[in-house]
Amino acid sequence: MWELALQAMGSSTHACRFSASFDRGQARSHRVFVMTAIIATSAARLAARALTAEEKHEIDHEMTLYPDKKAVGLEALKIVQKHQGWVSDESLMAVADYLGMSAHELDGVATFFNLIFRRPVGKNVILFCDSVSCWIMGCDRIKDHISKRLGIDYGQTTADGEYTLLPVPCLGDCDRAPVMLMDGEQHRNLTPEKIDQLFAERAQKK
Amino acid sequence: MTDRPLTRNIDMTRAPFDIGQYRAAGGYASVEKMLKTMAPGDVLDLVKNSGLKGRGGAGFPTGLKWSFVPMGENAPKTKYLVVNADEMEPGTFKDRLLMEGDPHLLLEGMMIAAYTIQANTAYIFLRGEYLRAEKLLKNAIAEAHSKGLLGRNIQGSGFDLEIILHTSAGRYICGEETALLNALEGKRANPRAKPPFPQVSGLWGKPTIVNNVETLCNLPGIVNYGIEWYKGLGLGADAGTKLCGVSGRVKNPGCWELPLGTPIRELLEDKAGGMCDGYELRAFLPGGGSTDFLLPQHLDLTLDYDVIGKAGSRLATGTMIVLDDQTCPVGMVGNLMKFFSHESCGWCTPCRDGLPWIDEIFQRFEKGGGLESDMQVLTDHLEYLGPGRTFCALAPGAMAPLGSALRHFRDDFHDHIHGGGCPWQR
Repeated sequence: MWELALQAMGSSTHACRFSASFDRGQARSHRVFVMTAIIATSAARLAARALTAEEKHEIDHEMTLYPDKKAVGLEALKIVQKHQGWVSDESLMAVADYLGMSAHELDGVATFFNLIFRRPVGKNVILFCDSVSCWIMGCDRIKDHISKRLGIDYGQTTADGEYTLLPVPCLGDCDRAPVMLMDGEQHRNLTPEKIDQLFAERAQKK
Repeated sequence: MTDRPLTRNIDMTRAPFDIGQYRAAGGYASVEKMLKTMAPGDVLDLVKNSGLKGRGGAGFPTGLKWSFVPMGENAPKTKYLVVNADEMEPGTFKDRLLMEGDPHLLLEGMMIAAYTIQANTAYIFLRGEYLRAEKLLKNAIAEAHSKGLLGRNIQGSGFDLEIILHTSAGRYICGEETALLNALEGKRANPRAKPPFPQVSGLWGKPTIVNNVETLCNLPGIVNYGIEWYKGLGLGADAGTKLCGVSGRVKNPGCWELPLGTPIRELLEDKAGGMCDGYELRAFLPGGGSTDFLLPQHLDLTLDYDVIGKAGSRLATGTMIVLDDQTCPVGMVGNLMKFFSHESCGWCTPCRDGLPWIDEIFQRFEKGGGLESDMQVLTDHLEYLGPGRTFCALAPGAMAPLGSALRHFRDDFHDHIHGGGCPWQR
């Protein structure tokens, strides 16, 4: 029980990117969130799920590359996320067991990184750069356009489960700002028209 | 010989060279030369005397950094080379160009560095969002393996080297070398106290060198063509070339390899084509988000570490962010403060609590509700989050654009406070 409480705290401290991504600008209210999280998680007893053979196989390969099992934590979470779409508590506990770590220790890692999702996300995650060069080139306007078109703000997922919109720090493509990353593809020099075209093309493909 | 050792093979309109094309263009010659004719100490002396400075931001002399690694029979057997490829400095897009444009150049540079400190394992710590670089580097490593340039007893030299690609999952603090090492060990990426420095006790407590991508890409040229050639590339006090980028409202934003010592004006006006029509230059950050603003009067300064340093800023990553006359400087700094606040790892108090406080103030400036007393709070933070107050350079780096903005854009702050919000949005 205590471990779960710690785990909940781990995922809700201000410094954690996961909560930070989803609750942007509300860092100072995190203490309230911690309390509710402790109460909420104490109610449910969670159990690790079984890792799939494929997941184990890929994690085993990573283990050959480092002298310490624990070092594979992030890769293992990425592997699980690749297969499951996100990292549930059950997945996290399974990976922790597999690597001989405590769940809260691993959750401390999971919640630290921008690209590990500890809540369900849409099929397509839009990582929208909101850093300085993109800001100068008018990314706010593009973001508003996406938000309007999809009906979601940062941290939200469309009702049909297709898209999640997240802010991301500088994507390193500043000479072609504004920029976003979707489905492993970088989209550059964004304009509202380009966004419309992009979503229209995707709707057609479906 | 070439005067563009970093980008001579790069043409982004086609795929990067495979190992055959790369070798045909003279690639890996430096490794062959080194393994046949040079002892590790020879390479160390060469790099020390070349004047190469780290291209990741700090500009620390590379050879000097390496020289702290214990060598000889009593030195630990296990040592590591780690490549810092976690490019996340706002406005910085130079290492991406190298990794996507010529991945074998990085591997060649890594081999030289690893041999010099006698490390048999090297990790590339690549940012998770750089998916194309990941694919290309994976492929290049496999190619180098298949040609006997990696693995055991490379080209009969007795030297072994494995290169392992680690992809991160996005967090700016991982660019700080001790935070990066913690991340690589599977921990939260909080910076470590120094000393001990990584050269003595780094990854898993072993001697470790962490070098930036661009730094390593300088090495093959130095080994191939020597010190005189390398020093001759620079126009001023600093040796070699540097990748320099420009982003913002300029006609032709991009990234170019220029001799160190090139005037900033040449970068901005000749390469980047000058400001877009209808826009004037107001100020610029010369080397990414954590450098101090410079002004149009600084355009004739040269791209040299000391020259930019004396003007009160840093060359850092060499990627310039341009502020035009129709973009709000307070908004721009506010954007940077939000970034730094968000990316603070939370390890030490001044950074964890100070940056969100600053962010909150900038949000009030934006919406209306800024107070005259906020200016003093911001000024105080320059000291509280300054050098020596925190474990790492994130917070002092964040104070660079803030402090210089408070000096240069006082009237704009005043407008926000007394005009009920951002004048550009009224």
